[in-house]
Amino acid sequence: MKSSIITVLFFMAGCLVGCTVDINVNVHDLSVYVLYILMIFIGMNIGGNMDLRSFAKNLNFRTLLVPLATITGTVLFAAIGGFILSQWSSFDCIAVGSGLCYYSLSSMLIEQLKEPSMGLHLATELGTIALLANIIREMLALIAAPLIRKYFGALAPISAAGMSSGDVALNIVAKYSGKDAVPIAIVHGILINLSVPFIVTLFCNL
Amino acid sequence: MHIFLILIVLGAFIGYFLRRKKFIGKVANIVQIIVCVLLFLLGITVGSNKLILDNLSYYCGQATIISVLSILGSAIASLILFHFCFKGKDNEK
Repeated sequence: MKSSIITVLFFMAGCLVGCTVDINVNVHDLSVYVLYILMIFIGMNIGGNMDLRSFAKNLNFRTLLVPLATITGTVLFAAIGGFILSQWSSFDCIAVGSGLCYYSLSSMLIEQLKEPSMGLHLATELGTIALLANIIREMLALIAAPLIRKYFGALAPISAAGMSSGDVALNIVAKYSGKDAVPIAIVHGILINLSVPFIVTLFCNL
Repeated sequence: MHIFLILIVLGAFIGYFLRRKKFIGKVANIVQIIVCVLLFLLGITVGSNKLILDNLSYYCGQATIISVLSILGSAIASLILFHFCFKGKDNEK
């Protein structure tokens, strides 16, 4: 929760700087290079911290189905957004939804990948919506966890939290779904983390 | 645009070979800092774009619609999964 507030504050500070200071540097190119560096560090984090033994222990078939259900449900329902929001296609809405709380990466990816087909302006708009949508999802998953647990069963708080089930939302999941759900939530978080770049890239190119 | 995926895999290899180094424990913090820098830059892009800034509540509305739909979809999918695969095995309290 604290880290999501800090990241939102950085975003807001950027907004403030952007509308008050006239910047001559090409921010767009700069963010591409920073994104490249981020990708390498995310890879290093995965490669260096993966506790393979405990990971393999929890890696049975049922556990693997949970992230699959999360992704399938998200993609199917986000597609409905394309019918509600007339200015975006269903694929655009799926690309936004399939950020699965990975707001930083998905918004940057959407912005970069959509730029050739939509133009900088629309791509920035969709990137902004992706950022807001995935931050809102994380906040909702944290705040509404007891309600989600009540109406959709023990796995739902994990699915709703998307990628943050393994870190930010882990305490909430443990509280409402029980301690047995913790390994599932961690594996879920790692697998979603790994799959977000692939899914977002896929739906941006469709 | 496969460069993103190539960079992640490259990073994973570097991380795997350096996994005994102390430095690896700090990578998560570095990622957090880079994320903040990126969001700051994204904020600058958004803030210098008058059209988006003037319609921020409009975008918040769209973002809320997509995120509520996404949560609902994944919750329903996990309920179905829970019903078919998890219910019999571990009895919930």
